[in-house]
Amino acid sequence: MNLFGATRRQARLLICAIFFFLHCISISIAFNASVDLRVLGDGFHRRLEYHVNIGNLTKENCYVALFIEFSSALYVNVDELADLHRFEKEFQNVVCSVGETNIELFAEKAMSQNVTVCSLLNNITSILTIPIHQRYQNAREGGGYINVSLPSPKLLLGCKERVKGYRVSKVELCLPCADLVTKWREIPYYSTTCNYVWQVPVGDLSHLTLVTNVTLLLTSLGALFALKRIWSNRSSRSKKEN
Amino acid sequence: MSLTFARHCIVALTVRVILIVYANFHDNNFDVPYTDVDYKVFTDAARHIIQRESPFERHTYRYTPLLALLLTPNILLHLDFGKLIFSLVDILVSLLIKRILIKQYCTRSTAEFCALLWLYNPLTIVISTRGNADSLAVLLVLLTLSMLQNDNSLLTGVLHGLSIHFRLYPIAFSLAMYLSLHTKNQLIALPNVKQVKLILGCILSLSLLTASCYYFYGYKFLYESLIYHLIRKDARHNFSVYFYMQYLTALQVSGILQKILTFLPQLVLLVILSVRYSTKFSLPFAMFTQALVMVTYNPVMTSQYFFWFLSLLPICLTNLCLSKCRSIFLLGIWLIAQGLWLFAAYLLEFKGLNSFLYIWIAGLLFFMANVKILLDIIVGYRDIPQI
Repeated sequence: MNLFGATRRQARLLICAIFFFLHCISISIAFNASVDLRVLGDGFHRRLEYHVNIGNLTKENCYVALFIEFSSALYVNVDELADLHRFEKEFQNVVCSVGETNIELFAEKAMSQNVTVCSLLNNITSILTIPIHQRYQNAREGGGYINVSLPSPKLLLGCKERVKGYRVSKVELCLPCADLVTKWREIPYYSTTCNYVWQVPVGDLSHLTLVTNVTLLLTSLGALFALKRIWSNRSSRSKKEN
Repeated sequence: MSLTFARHCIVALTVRVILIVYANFHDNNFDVPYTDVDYKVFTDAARHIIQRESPFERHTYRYTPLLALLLTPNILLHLDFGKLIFSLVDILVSLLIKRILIKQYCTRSTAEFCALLWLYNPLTIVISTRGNADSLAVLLVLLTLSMLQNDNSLLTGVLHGLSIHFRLYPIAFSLAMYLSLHTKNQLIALPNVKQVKLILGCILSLSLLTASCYYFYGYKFLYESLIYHLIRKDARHNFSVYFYMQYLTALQVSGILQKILTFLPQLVLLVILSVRYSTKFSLPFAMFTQALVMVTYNPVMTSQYFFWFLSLLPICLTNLCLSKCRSIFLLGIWLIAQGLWLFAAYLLEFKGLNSFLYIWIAGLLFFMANVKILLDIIVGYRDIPQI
């Protein structure tokens, strides 16, 4: 027993825990990771640019990845991604997704998508780009806008050499990102811009009666006018011929 | 005209080739691409065919497998191959327009002038060089018409079946074509030999093509390239007058009255136009007005659909008595209404602004412009040769 009433074994354990904790903090601080989001474009089609900075990374042959769970309100178009990888040399990173692939569905009927974007880490800073689109949403009373929040991504680092101090991620990345390294590790990061709110315009259900009545009335009138014109044109021609 | 028609064709093709080259630059440097999204769909479908897979593996491919097959050189030779084909088809269409008009007792110079209107139509040029395949559908429709003028009913039927297989809309011309083969002393209920040949040719080619595509690609072919177009209800913004109504009722099952009022006006107009302009001479006009009605009343309308009637307009022009003022007025309201719609749609799609109500109003105006054009054209039509 010592002064604080703990046994020698307990004290040793406590010291070990403190050392381990300090060790982890030192590694985290050593990496000093940050992710900044820039959204290019407005409207239905936008481009997400994640500026990933992993400070103090001394290892080589490392890959960086972001894993994002998009709600059904937003989607990446898998065919567009395939095209970008095929033709656009400037498109440096790889984007893949698991989940909904139907681009025509409304948000309410679509499933979510798990998207991974990955790239070789050439410098301490990498720009990861994702072309993203919004889905139509069902109309509602009052219309206006529906807020869709972009979820914060998980930052993952994978190196050929072992990265100590960070737990191996259990996140299921999609191919081909998943196969770039044997182990991906989740890295905590600092960000001030990742909480982005996307406003999606929706139709106003209170317009339904007006819109339906006016549309059907106008289209019916259009047909009636055309029929009348065909008929009167025929009659006048017959008279002339007679 | 200082240039010969052949040279005009070369100039028109050169303009298209320049635009095809420009498209690549534009696509790499601007946010809104020049190339039509459908062109990527065709190309992906062609890639599937090369990989011995179904073209319908490509999500949103809703065309005949023949189109994907035709565009396999997009993968094997060059990505712009398809655009070049569509541009060449544009030139062939102008030659057909000239030929049809000469058959309709037009002078060579008038026929060539009308063909040039197609050749140098900015919409035609842009739609083809963006990689839209509707020029192929237009070519088949005009070939059918040309065969009908040549009194080759069986071949007309075969080509008509191919047209319908390629794109569903020419099916609306069937009644007018059938009636145009009617002879004076014939009972309306009994078809004559030419009419039987037309029907047989059409059924033969359509069923053969459908059966062979079904054999290779199964129910997915039937659903995507035929059934889907019949039951399609696209509630995302498009030129159609019905767009906002369809969007607001997307959650509901439409009532029977709404369904009737949506489809009956179009159906009645198509039948009446078939009957009214059913002479062989007036057939091009019947087809033109029917195409205009189909596009105006379609539950889904995009700019490529304008091809359907724009390709038939030059062969009717010589029989339209419209003053210059009236023609400019009609063209003006059509372009202004379209511009208003495009602006409202731009605010929604690219600026994220809630402009649904403006899109609807612009859609109504565009519909009224189309109806006004239809009414004035019906009045201005003369169903005797204007030599």
